[in-house]
Amino acid sequence: MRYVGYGLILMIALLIETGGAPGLSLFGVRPELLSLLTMLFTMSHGSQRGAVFGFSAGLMHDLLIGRFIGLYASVLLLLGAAIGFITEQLFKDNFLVRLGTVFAGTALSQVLYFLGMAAFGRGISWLQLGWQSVLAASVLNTLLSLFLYRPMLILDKRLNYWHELLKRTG
Amino acid sequence: MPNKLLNWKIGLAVVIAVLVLNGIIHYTAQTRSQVSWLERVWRDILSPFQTAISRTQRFFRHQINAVQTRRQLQERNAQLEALVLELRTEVNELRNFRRENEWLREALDFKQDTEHELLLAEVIGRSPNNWENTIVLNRGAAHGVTSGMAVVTNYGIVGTVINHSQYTSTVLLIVDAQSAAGGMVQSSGDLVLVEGMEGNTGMLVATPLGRDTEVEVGDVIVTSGLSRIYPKNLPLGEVVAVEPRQYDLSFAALVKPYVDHTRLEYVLVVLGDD
Repeated sequence: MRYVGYGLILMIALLIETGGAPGLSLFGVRPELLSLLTMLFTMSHGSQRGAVFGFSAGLMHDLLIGRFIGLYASVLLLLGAAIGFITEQLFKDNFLVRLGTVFAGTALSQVLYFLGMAAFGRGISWLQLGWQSVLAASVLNTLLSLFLYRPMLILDKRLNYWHELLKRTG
Repeated sequence: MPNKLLNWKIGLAVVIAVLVLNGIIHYTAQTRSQVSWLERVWRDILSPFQTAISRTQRFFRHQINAVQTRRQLQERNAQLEALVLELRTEVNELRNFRRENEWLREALDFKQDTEHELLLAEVIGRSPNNWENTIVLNRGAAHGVTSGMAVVTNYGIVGTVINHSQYTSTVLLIVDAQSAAGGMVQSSGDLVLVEGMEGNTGMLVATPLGRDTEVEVGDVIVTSGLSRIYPKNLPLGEVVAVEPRQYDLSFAALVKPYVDHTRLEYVLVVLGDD
């Protein structure tokens, strides 16, 4: 039940991303919802489950695009593991720490994905990395995290509750 | 001892997983004409939802336009607010219908004029990331669409189908940095190579193929038909700037495409010659 719920959340996020979400764009750049969800999930579940969540999210994205399959999955896996590790060391409930983590995590995932594409033959160099895009996506994700952190926690609690209830009733 | 063995096994599993993942990324980094069954199923599951979201989004965009217009009218004439509000909303709806109607009419004329068999397709999605310029169409193998087919509108070239599922296909836009097409300067007939520009600018770059090629601002670049993907003489865009390369031996012309790739709603897939 819990996993179906998380799968649906990721699917909806992916559909919003592919749908364009024009109202959410900044300088023509859209938010990276999958990396944002991975970070928010990791903050409440730790690095191991965050990495699995990230890998699943990335794989859904990769299978839809049909190119560099496994690259975004690897990036989000690393992101989940890294954010989990960092938030375990820091006081994760601190509002500013959370915002800073989302900002840095989004930028990191963007740069890693770009470098991955370059490494696997996209034929572009490091110099062509659009820093404006990275910055805009990071700002957008940080702003969105303000609105999504609490609902994600509540949804998470509900999913856990239903999961336990179903397990008990068989 | 058992702990060491377990660590060794986990380490080996991680190395194998990394190698397999590397292999898959490397394999799928190339343009493939066929996608795997898993991708096909995943895309076909998502495509009805993508269609629904795309249409809902379009509906709301039209509504937002109507609301914005409504605000302007309120400021201009408070006394006639109610009447103007009603009329303006109606006019907006009619404008939208007219725009759609005009586009489809032009597309129909273009379809009748051209010697190629064309298939009308609706744009139901865009690339989920900011690094690739792709769109998703609601037509796939079931409608005769295969990879490598050109996608156009009556204004010019849109891109190429790079992969497809049963009911959807993905189009790499001509403005993507990985796109290239054979072009021709319409006024002189000189051949140029037209490529997408890096950095999501929505512009094209034309570089000469011949030594004596000359291009000026305002020149129209059309497809040369040499690539066998795009039909000949379809407009690509207009030269807006010409920049000399090193030692003035060559140049790069900045081309503004006629097609607005950010506002595509319907396109035509070139299925083949009649």
